[in-house]
Amino acid sequence: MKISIRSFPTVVVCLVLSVALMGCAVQSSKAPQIDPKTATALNIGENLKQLNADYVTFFRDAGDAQRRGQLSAAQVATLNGIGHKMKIALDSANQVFQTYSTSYDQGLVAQIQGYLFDAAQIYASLITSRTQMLGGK
Amino acid sequence: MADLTTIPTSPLGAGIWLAIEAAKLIQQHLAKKGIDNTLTQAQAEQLLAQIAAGLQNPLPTPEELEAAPPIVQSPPTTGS
Repeated sequence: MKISIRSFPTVVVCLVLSVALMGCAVQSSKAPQIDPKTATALNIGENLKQLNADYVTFFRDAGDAQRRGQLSAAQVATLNGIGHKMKIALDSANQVFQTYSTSYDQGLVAQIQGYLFDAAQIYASLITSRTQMLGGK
Repeated sequence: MADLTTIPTSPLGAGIWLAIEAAKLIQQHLAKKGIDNTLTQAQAEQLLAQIAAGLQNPLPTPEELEAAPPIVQSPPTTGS
């Protein structure tokens, strides 16, 4: 199987996001003092918080890059189009997480993880697009 | 966040740059695990409440974030 060089950054970003999403900040086996439900909620919350921060940082950086002339208005508009999809996924995840963090309703876990996975995939796409845009100059 | 101005222009160079940044992220992530596993149940619940309260809903749009003035970092202080 051949993997083109152009797809290499995407592969790397996806790999990192997979590790970050699947990895746990709190490991139940190493932290038995924490209730598993709390540990699960904390891990989901940490991942969500990180993706929220990544989203904010990405678009603040995009604004800075445009002001410095590294990205054109058209390129930023393309990134914004992708970014709005990430915002929808994150807003949905944040909303469901607010309920989950107090109720520990296990039925909401899959729903939040679904939104997180969508947001992480979109973020990988944003990173790849920006890398290609900056590399193309 | 990595300095974007240092991204190499070639696809291969950008890939290597990303791999290095990935390694840094994983390193940070693993370092964080060691700290968080020492939390007590009460601290974990407190942290969870803080995370939930800190989530902005709805998030600003990409356009709003881009329009925000750049964050000015204060120069590092030196010891006397």
